[in-house]
Amino acid sequence: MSGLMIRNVSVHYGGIAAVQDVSLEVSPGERVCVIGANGAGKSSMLKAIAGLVPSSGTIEFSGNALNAIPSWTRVGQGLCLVPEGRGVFARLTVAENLQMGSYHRRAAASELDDVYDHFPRLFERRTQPAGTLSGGEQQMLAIGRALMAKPKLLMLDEPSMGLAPLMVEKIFAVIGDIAKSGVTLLLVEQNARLALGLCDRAYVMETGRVVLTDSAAHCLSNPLVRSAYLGD
Amino acid sequence: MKRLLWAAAALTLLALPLFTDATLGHGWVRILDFALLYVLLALGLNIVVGYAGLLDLGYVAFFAVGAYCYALLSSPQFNLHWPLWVLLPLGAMVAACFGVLLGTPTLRLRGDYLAIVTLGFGEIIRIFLNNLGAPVNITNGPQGVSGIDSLSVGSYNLGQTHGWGFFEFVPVVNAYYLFLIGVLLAIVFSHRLERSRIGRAWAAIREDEIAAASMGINTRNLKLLAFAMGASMGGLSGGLFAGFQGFVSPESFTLMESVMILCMVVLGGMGNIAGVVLGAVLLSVLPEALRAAGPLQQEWLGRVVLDPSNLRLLMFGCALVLMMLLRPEGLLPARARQRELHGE
Repeated sequence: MSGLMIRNVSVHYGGIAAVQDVSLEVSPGERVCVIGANGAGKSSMLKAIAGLVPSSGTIEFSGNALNAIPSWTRVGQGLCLVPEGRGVFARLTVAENLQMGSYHRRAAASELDDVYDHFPRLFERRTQPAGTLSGGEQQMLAIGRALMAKPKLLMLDEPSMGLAPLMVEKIFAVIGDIAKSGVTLLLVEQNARLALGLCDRAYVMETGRVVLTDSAAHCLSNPLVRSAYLGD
Repeated sequence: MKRLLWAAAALTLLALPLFTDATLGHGWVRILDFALLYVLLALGLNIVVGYAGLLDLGYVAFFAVGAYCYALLSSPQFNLHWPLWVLLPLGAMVAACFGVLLGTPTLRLRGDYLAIVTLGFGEIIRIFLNNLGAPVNITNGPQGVSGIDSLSVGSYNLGQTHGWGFFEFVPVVNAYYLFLIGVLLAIVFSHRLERSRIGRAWAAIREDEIAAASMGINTRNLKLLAFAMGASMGGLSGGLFAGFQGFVSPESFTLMESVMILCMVVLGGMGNIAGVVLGAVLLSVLPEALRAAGPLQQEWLGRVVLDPSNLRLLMFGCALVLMMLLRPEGLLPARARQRELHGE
């Protein structure tokens, strides 16, 4: 069982509560998305799961409590976050960036090829510094780097941010492929239509709380979701 | 061919102090000695600033810690006279502890905020050294510690003149060779470090700390390690400085020194060993060369129009401005940094 379960998780920045009492579950192999407006607390929740911000409540992965474990050990347990804004290492080359992904373990050279299979574009640019890539290519690199960590649960923070529609389509196709290969997916998105199209189940967050959870298909037909997030 | 070049470089480095001593005198060999100490300092700071990307404006504090470590344990101050091979590693280790001490509370800080805290740390160390003369006299306050034993390796006292056949090894020449060994070790160490697993993790932290942490890099320990390793080179340099000078006082460890060392790193090329060495040598030798401007003016113009000591700061300022306009990446930049500023 490599599922994720979080119970009553809260994140505070100083006196401000970014996430309040959020509970959420992702079963192994499931594709789950969290949608919501700016400042709803989606990113903070992902950061709490990755261990990048302190949080209260329970976070369990594969039955192990993660609360007391620092972020760098969580990666070894199979949790991997693609951070918001991509966070590529701008002055390192594409290949070096990918190698950093497998920092916590010993990776075979063939794994690099697997990533290049997903993203042929990265292979073409492997000797280029990551800072010179376009936004879409950087997003590919960030996802590829996370794959090098061999995640059981891949968390993506707004992979569509600031990208052209064609590029978004390409990237979501690859995310779909990754999920098909057996990686559990937790996707945070503002682009609700895309996210709901890809995922099995969805959580809707507003001002730090989960206000709705349902299957993606039901969400797509829910009038509240349609008016608030799909622009109908 | 390559081997020949290496041999020529090695011979030049070995012959340099003897040649300089014979042509320009002891004073210039002394300048070379200080240049080597600065190279050691700049290489240490390069680990913190160039590799890990942690801006440190109080680096001279580690130099001070190393220097006082040597001074207190090898002088009439406490009537202790420990040998060099104990004092130098000890100084480096104590400085490394101080590096961790500085690093621990600043783990969450970056950039300008970190710079301000490190600046404060540098001043705290200096003020402590200044005031630990009373009520219990530890550092002898502003008067400093004098009568420090001169550097000696085994029974070979580097503070005395030794004649070896045709050559005469005066104290400044002896010190040069010892410092050169220190610098070469530091270069090899930095070079290995840069290409190691630790070096790659530092590069990741420097570029994006959040992403580095989400790749499973232990950002806490690696940042502390950078502070400790950088500090230990500062401490080593400080120990050599104390034994060489025979005297240390708090006024050698001002903020200006920290700024100077940072300038060497930035001017030479952050993150690149050759660049950092070049920056340190240039910034410690050129100002001394400018001293000649006074007598030259006297000779040609009949009077000193521009005082060389003022001229030095003016030239230094101009050099900095010019560098930042023309070569912001430094004289010999790290490859990655050049790519960033000038494309492929």
